This record gives sequence, C-alpha cells and structure tokens, in this order.
Amino acid sequence: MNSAAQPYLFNQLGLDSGSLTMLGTIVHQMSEPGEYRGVSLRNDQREAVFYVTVEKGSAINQVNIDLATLAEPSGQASTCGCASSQAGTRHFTLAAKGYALYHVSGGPGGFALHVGPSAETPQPREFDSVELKGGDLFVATLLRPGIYSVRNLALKGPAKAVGEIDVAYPARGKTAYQPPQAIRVESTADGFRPGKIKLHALQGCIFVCQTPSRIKIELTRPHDPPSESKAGPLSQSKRRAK
Amino acid sequence: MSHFTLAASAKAFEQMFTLVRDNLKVSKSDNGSWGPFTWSYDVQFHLEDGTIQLNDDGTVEIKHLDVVWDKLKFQICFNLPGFCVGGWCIVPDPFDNCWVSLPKICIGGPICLPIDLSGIVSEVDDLKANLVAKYFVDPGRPAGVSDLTAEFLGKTNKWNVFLNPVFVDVLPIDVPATIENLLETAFKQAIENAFSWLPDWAWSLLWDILGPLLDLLKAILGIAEDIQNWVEDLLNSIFNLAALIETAIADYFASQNPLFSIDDPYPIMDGDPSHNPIPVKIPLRDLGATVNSEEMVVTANIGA
Repeated sequence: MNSAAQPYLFNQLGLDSGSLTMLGTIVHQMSEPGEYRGVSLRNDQREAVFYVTVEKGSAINQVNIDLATLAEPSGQASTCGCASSQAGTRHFTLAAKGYALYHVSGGPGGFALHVGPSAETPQPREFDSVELKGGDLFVATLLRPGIYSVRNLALKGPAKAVGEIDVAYPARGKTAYQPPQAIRVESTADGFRPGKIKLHALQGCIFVCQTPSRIKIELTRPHDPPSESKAGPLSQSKRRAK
Repeated sequence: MSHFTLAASAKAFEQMFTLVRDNLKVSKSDNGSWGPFTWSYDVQFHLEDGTIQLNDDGTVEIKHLDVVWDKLKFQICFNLPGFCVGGWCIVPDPFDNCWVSLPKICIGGPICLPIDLSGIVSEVDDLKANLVAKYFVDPGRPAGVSDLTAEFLGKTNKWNVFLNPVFVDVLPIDVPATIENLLETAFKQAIENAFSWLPDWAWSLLWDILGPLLDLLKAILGIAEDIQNWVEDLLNSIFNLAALIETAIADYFASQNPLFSIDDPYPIMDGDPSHNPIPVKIPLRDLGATVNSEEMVVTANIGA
C-alpha cells in the first residue's frame, strides 16, 4: 500500500490552490526561455529551492515537479525526471511554452511556490501559486460526494466569486467505474463560469484562471452513500449471475 | 532342496492392504510463482476405500481409491492495482493526443487470498501393482552375531513383500462449484483488510471503482476460463498435486510399507523352556511372492 498517500487522500476533502495537497495540481505554462529559480513553501516557511531551464527546441513539453519530494535528499525521488546538483537542489528542463505541473504525491501537503528568473536580484515572481493568473490551471479532484462551495479568495470585497460544486456518487454499474471527462471552469473577474458545477466522484475539475485567482473549495454538506454501499460488490456479481 | 510355500486368501490379502493403506498419510508444503501471482500450499491426505482385484497375471488392481484431503489449504498473492486518482489528460494537443497529463496516484499493493478446501475427496482411479520381495538386513544388527543372538536383540533379518505399483492413474482434483463464492469472499475480505483505514463514506466509491470482484480478479490474474476450471488447473497442473499423489503412493507402497514381513530365519517351532528353550527356525532363500485370482502365494527355498 502507498502509505504516504493513505490517510491524506481521503481525509483532506477541501482544496486550496494556495496550499496544495494531494488532490490539487497547478499547471503553469513557461513561455520565455531562460533560467528560473523556484522556491517551495510550506506553512509560509521555505522548504526547497529548485531550478528550471526553459530552452527553445527542447522536446520536453511537460515537467512534473513533486513538491512533496523536493526537499528530500537527492536520489530518493528517482522518478522526478530531473538532475540534482551536489547540494541536492533539483534542476528541471522544459521546452519554451512547455508546462510545469506542480503536484503533491503524498503526505499532508500545504505547499505554495513561486518561480522567477534566477539571474535577477531581487528575484521578481514570474509565477506565484497563491495568485494564479494568465491561463494558469488549477486541477481539483474531489473524492467525497457532497455539496462544496468554491471561492476565489483573490477577488476582494463583494466581487468575491462564490460557486457551488455538487459531487455525486457514481451510479453502480456492471463494470468498474470510470469517472467522466474533466470539466473546465473559467475563473474570471465576474466569477466562475459555470457557477454551478455538477461532477461525479473522482471526475476532474480544471479551473482556468483568467483573472488573479486563489481557488478554495470546501465541503459544505456531504451526500449519504447509497444504501447498498457497505454490502460491497458481492451482491452485484450475484445479482448479475441471476 | 526343500521349499516353503505360504498362501493367503483374497480376503486376507485385502485386510493386509487395508492395514497398509490406512497408515498412509502424506503432507507437503510448497510455494512458487506463476505469471502475475505467487502461491503457496499446505496439504495432507490419506487414502480410503478402493476395490481390490487379484489377477491371474500376477497383478493386483485397486480401483476407486479415495484420496481424502485432510488439509488442502492454499494462498495466492498478487498486486492489487487498487484505487487510482488522476492519470487523465489536462491539456490535449491539436492531434487528439495529450500535451499535459495529470500524474496518477494509486493506492494498491500486495494482497493474499487464503483458500481452504480441506475435506474434499479426489480419486485414484486405477492402481496396478505386482508383488516384490526385498531382503531387509536390520542396520542395528551387530556384525557377526548369530541369528539367535539377533533375535534376542530384536534385530532379526526379514523378507519384506511390497506392493509395487506399475501403473497409477490419478484423477484430476475436482473442486466444488462454490469455489467462485469462496474466492470472491476471500478477495473481498482481503480488500477490506488492506483498506481497513478507509473512512465509511469511501467504501461505496471503492467498490464502484473496483467493479465486480470476480471480473477484477480474472483481469488481474489473467484468467480466461471460468474460475472453477482455473482453480482445478492450479491444483493439478501448477501445484502438481496429482503428481504428488502418484509419487507418494508409488513410493509408500513400493519401498516404505511392506504388505507383510517374514522373519529370516523363519520360526517353525517355538522354544519350550522345560524341554528345549531354543526355537526351531529355517532359513529362507530366494523368496518370491505373486497372486492369482484366488489368493496370494509366497514361495521360498529353504537352505543355509
């Protein structure tokens, strides 16, 4: 069993793009070639530094940066597809206009990060996960069926957008459940489009941040599981055999 | 030269066979791997019943010998893919491929399904044997001692007559049709144990994701046929239990447990303490045993 994922995957029901946990992922497109320096933060404390080289002509369109393992000593996170310097700092390479995907593979999470050109001092923030914008994506996966509120904390005052997500239990079928395709939701200055989102458990919800956004999703009312849920699938296959 | 002949009726022969048959108890444990799973088993069987026929060609034929599995426990272990989140496409490219995809987080791992089929009965359909006599020198007998001394020491040499199987036809082990339920229940229990930490609300979701358990089990283990046939193949061909029965029976009857034994020298008159305390015995040479349709016949030469 994946012991790092076990408790958190099912217990962290809410999501916050400014405090990433396992079910939230940020995708940021890096347009300009250059050397970038990233800093991951956890509970506002610096956790790790990493570098991204964005180069023209590279074939690497996507780089996955696992915030949960960035601070580990080099060699432990052998699947990151990156190189490590002698000091243990991770170095990633990406094509210009490629996508950097920031995710958390295990543990309690709570990560934020910012990235900027590494040559300049003081470092300007080209990207800050606490304020997504310019088409940055926040990918949320909701496991527990129920009603969720979704807010953009970056919008101040009465304009603060509030949406609703209704996550349903899957309809029990004769085959293994496959979640439907992800839904795209625009985060704009006027709020979320659509404002009422219907999902099934495990179905992805991609927030496209057109306006400065910090997406916070909170469970307001869980749905009751179907009455046969505890019986498990034995009854299913027996029913099918009749 | 004088000869010694001993005969036993078919009924007496049957009783000798029953005594030997009832002493057989075979146990074995083993483990291995096959494709996507590993296995282990722990079995024990004994024999019951069987009809005996003595033939004029010198063979004994035993049919419908029951193999009673006092213990038939096995376990299969494999990797359960379990519960996966993500893995789907976030940003498609213009050619219907995927530009950016979400990493997949899977919670699965090794699980084991213990199955207990103790009590089932399989069958040796036909066992054909002849009789073979073997001379036995007690390894504890001191060198150079007389036969009389050896007898006092309880280390007498013997002629042992064995049932020597020349043909054993073991029927494949059949498993009951309820094996599907047993496997499905074991699989469900194993999943419940592996995911015991799951909150109550998530169980419905987990069962939906895994789908019908027998279908999932077949997919993981690569089972194309029905479960009952697959388990029978597992027991007979992969665990090779049919071969275990065959080898164990052949070995047991042919070299471990004689049908009967005759002391050499053979006592023909007990000693009498008041008259002559030394028993009268005759040495047996070239002992042979065979059967006809009526009886078992043992012959030997008497000589020094």
